[in-house]
Amino acid sequence: MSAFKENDFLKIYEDFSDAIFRHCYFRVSNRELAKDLTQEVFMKIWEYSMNGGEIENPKAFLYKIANNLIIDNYRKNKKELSLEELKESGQMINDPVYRDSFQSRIEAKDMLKILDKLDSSDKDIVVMRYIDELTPKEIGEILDLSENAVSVRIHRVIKKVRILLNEYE
Amino acid sequence: MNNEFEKIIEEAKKIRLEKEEKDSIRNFLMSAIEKDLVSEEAFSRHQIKIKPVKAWSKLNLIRYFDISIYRNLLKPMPLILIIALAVSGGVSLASENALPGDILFPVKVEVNERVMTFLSFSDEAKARVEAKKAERRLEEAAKLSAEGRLDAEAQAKIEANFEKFADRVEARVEKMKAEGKAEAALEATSNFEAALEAHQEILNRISEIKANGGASIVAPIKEKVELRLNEIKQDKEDIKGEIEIKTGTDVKAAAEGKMNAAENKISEVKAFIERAKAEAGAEATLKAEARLKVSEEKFVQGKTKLEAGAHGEAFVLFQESVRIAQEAKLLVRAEQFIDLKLEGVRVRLFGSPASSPTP
Repeated sequence: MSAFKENDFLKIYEDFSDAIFRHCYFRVSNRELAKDLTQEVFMKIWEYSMNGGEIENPKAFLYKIANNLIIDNYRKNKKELSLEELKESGQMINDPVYRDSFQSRIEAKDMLKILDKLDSSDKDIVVMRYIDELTPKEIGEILDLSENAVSVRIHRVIKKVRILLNEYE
Repeated sequence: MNNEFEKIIEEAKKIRLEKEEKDSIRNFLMSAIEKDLVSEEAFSRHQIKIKPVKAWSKLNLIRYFDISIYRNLLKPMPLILIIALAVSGGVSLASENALPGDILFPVKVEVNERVMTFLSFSDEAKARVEAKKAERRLEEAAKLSAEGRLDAEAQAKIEANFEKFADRVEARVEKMKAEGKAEAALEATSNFEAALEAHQEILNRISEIKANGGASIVAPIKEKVELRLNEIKQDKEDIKGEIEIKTGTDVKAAAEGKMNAAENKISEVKAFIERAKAEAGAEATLKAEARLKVSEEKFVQGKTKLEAGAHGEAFVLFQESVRIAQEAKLLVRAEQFIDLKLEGVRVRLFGSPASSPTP
């Protein structure tokens, strides 16, 4: 029986809330929305177990729920906000992360800039592989792809990132 | 990958929730969970929330997530029934009224009740849930015997499960005592005692009403309840003695808190009896009102002790007041809740209205 044991829920929250938030943040480029999504991910895992579901691997399961919620969110708001629009709306200026330090202000933005130039499936791969540090196998489980297909996509997307970085410099 | 990208990644990984943000999400989750836990209608409330979800999105859920536990449990069910349940608001809810021997009974015990424990975090909450589980076994025994379906096998199963959960309640109480949480331990034993008293009354009435067969079949369960009640009462006396000699500002605050709780409980039960009067019948109402009176007397005694500065004793008296009020409520609830059908005629647990088939 690999279902939740007592107290697991809180532990899972403590262990994964930052990682799930980060994942959402880089995929939706909006701190407030990322927070809402994070909360929803944990509500969903609770509801799921409430309905008697079993969870083999909480980490993969959380990312899978996050992925589904983000996709739902994209569908709901077909028009995605670009980085430029976010800057104009002042959302990023008010973002506490950007007030942290000059250094991180520059470089977290760099990540968003790179991600903003990738199409959304490439962006997902970069976030999962490099920010979430998921293995190709885990990414495959989340996206319903084979491990091999994921490895190929990682390889391709790295090439694109390299080109972007050169342009950027 | 070049250094530039690695540096960017390192910085990106520093993005995290601020402490306040993390706390606020945690609080949100905990309050959602606690609300369900303390509510007696935990599951129905939760399911109501799920109910309006359209059928297609339920199917999506089934596609996205592996709900293997349902599949195993529902294997013998016809496909059409599974679909009907999936669209009509959840297997869990449907299973809530299942009795041993029913097809959905495993869902009730394995799924719903396991989740109940998983959702409770403190020992106090766990003790409450486990007491509830023990109580549900007794409820099942009463319903099954009323329907004439309590055979030896179901009886043995119910008995074993009752003992299992009652043992767990006692273990939690021991743990609380060992950790110096005597007040919480007293609350847990008092609540369990109130519930067991009510169930004992119900089982007694069933034995009286069902002279042929029914009485002998509930007898072993009745015996178990009686033994357990004695143990619990003994436990309670020990804990009471421990609290009564306690002094200090903590105890004073606890006693005052308990006084408020007792006051609320008394007025809640008073209102409840008033509302349920017609349905419960005169005899049950009288019994409940008499219990409530005892509860009020304990309350007055508690107040006197509190004013005299005997805070530990006051706490114990207020807790007793809460317990007795709860018993009064359960007496009425039993009437409302267990719609005993004997030979197709509804009979009252208390009193002998014209509809009763017994002489």
